[in-house]
Amino acid sequence: MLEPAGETQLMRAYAGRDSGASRTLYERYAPRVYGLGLVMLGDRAASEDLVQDTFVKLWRGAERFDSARGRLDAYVLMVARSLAIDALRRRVTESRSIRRLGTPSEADGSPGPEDLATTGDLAARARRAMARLSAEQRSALELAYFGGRTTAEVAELEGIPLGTAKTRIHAALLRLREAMAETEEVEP
Amino acid sequence: MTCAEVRERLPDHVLAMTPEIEDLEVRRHLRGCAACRAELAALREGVEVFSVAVPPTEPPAELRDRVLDTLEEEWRDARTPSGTSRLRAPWLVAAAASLVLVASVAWGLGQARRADRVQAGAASYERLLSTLGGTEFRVGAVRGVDGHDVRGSVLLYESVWGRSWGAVFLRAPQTADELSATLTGPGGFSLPFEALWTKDGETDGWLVTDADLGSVDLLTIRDASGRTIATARISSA
Repeated sequence: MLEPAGETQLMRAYAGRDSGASRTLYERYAPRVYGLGLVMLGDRAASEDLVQDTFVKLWRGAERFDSARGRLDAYVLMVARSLAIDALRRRVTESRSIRRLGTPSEADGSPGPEDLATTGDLAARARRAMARLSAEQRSALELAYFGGRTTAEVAELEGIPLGTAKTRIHAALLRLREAMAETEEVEP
Repeated sequence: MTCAEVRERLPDHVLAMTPEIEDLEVRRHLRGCAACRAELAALREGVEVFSVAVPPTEPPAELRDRVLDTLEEEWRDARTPSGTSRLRAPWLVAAAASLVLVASVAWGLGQARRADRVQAGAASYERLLSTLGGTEFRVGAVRGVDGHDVRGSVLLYESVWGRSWGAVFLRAPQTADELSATLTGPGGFSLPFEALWTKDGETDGWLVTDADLGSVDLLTIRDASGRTIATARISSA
């Protein structure tokens, strides 16, 4: 995984139309974006479009990326998620939950060699952190994150008061953060 | 908006699901509240954990060439490397038309005296901003300095999509030369419009940029010799 300065440098090169940077970014993040697309959009063609759209949008905003405000992988996935939510809204379909998160679908392939050492480990730790969530917290967060639902919509779908939906998502996010920090302490 | 009201909205804010108008209020509060920013940072870390939990999946091999070819095409079509351009494309012309409308709304807001008119204008403003998907409009009145007869207005639109706009409208009856207009802000931020050519004492200029215009607080108008002839303080509409 690149240091923050390296991430900024990579995005600056991408902004400058460096084809090497675009290849590096693609190899590093396309599997992540494609995986997110499969979870959120549910089909391969839409996920491929998501990958393409994400890399175009990343280039258009590449100069504005600031590693001081967050990691590049989180930024890439935020952009991808935003585009996926737009696609979901266009479809006007029901939100998709990530019931399969712990059991990758048959479409799931192997991560790239670099990802195996870093992203794969990070993802595994993140999934262990998610196991610390209650079923209710996880369900609410999945609807909000993958389904692009507002807390009001989550409340309606779950049949719970709005305040409860907000509290569940709020608490789930804080618990994830804490659980991840604990895994870092255990596995430096 | 109070801290309690902001924190109630942070889950939607951090998941980018807050309606644009509400989000504007949340952002304003966050800029001046360290405690809420700390809360937001904690929630954001949680979102990052959640996002990386998705298993990576190798996309089809042919997608790589498709994406890289698309990028090459995008780069060829891009007019300037800086992302700042004059309005030429049809959609930019449409954007310009929108800006004229917004300028009218903003000007109307500034001139309104009756409470009901202000209320109607504010509602119109909010609807417009929400429809466009922007963060906010910021405006300033151009005033001549050192006795120069220059009047006009400047309008900035902050987009969440990296396509922010700026427009300047000037009336300078005593000037027949080329003018320059530059937006500046703290930390040395500087963004020039392309040269403004006066005709019958009037001129206007536009720019579209992916730069963050949120900190811009001053427009400076200079004549062909570089002398400052007018300025405008820019603030939220």
